[in-house]
Amino acid sequence: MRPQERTGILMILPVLALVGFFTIYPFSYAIYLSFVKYVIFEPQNIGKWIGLKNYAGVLSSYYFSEAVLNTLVFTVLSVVTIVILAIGVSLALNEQFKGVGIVRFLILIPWAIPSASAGLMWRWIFHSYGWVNKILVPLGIIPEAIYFLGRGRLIEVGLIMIAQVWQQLPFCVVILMATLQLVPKELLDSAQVDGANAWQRFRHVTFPFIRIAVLILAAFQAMLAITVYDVIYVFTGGLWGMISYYAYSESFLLGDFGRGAALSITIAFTILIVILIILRILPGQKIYRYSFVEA
Amino acid sequence: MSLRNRKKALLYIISLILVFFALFPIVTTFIGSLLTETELRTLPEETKWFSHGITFYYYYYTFFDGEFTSNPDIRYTLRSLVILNILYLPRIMLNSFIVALAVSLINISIGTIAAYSFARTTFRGSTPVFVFILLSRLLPPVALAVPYYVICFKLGISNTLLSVILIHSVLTLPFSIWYLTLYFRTIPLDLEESAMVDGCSMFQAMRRISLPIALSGLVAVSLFSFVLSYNEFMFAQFVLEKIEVQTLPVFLASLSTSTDVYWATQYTVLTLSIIPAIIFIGLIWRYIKISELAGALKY
Repeated sequence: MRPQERTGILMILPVLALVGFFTIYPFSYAIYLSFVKYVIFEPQNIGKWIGLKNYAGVLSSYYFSEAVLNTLVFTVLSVVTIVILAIGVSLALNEQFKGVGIVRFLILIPWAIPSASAGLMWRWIFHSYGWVNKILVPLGIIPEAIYFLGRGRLIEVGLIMIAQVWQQLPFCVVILMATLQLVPKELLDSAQVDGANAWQRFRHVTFPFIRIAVLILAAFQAMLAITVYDVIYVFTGGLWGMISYYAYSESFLLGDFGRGAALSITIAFTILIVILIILRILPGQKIYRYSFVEA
Repeated sequence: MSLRNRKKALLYIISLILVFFALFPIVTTFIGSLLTETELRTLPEETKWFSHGITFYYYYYTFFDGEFTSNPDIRYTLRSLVILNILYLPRIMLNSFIVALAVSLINISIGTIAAYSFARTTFRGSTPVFVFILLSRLLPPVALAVPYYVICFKLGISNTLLSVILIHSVLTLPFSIWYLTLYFRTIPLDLEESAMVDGCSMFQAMRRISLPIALSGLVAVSLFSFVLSYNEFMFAQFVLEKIEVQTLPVFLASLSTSTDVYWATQYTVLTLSIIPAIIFIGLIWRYIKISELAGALKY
């Protein structure tokens, strides 16, 4: 081994040890847990091999189907909204006009705010004593307070989606704006000279350049939405949740770590399938370039 | 109106809506933290804005333990539980800061070294290891959360800041390494090679030549990892059960789920939790240019 090689390996060793230990071991442990009985209230049975019973128990439960429905609605709504808005906003803010700098700066702020805080802020906006009511009712715009919360879960899912869009939009806009810099100005100009209208210029000149970035952002947002936890937990006051919250409550509230793990592994494989589908759509090399969206 | 002016007007309208959407929750939160409990608990139908005045009392009470005021608007119906817990807030803010700072330091130390190795040396297995580290982030957080709880318990580090520092480092390192690897690759090799010809070791060449050039990349990575760690909620909630070691998002969530809490206190803590975020964005804006990010994408 050349000395340079040895130094190279030594230099990555601390990171490899840390990341390796904290990903391979927990994930294998979760797989193990999902096949054994691990209910903390039944200590005599802990570690007993029960095959696929945890999976069967989780998948057949009523809460699971409801959580899946909520998560699915939330994922589709938030991904579609975020992607469409991000494209529009990044195109608008990519133009040069007076004050564009300060707008770009201000809309970035929600990105850095903790999602737990974001959930609580939006709860205080839609609460019956919240800001929508406190502003609109005294002004006489709406006659009496609207009860946004507690009107059924799908309505709440929609409201939480607004909080999610609020938080995730800035990042997507920044990435798309950076990608838009790659569109050659001459191409757009010559398309305009040839008589293409704004939509045609976007569809046939701009979009091909940002297509892959859009796809990756959509995939990334889908992963975030499927595993959403913080915003939900705080927005609803920890009362109910989507699929991640269900995994949490199985483990920590009901004490059944086996089922919690089975559910987690199911989510992990669902996401893996999503990723594999995306990998098939995308040319391999480009994934690398955008893998920062995982951060 | 000419086409040009109409386009301009449209851009300004869009900008106005965007800024309103982005800032509305922040502004209302700040205003809410200055209102009295009585006003917050007045029905919307009976609300007269600012009829009970504004107060900094809840901030004061949060940081300086003392007799609770007798002002009935502020006092409302005295809620005991949170009054006890709220006194931990300075400690909790310090915890959050310590964790985020430690994570940031780990990222720019072992993360930088590893990124440098990926960018500059070739050894068998280098690419698979790089891919493994990047892809480790694809595991969904819930799948790791339960095992983390058990591991921290087994290692005897549950309910310590160390556990969260390690977990957050594992979460942030993949991004930092990816970013810094690309950054180092943009620095020409010749400079370092000539330094090594002159007798520097590889490590010295890195320290004396490349690191100063990569400084803005290091700043970016330390800021990003700081923000991510400062904001992380789920893992921190799982491994930190004792109030004196909790971080700010965990504390905030426990306030939000308690019914026995001053709403004004929620607004106060909320405001305190978002002030650092605004400072971070200022710093990030100052040090990271969108055009630079475009350079990284082009690579």
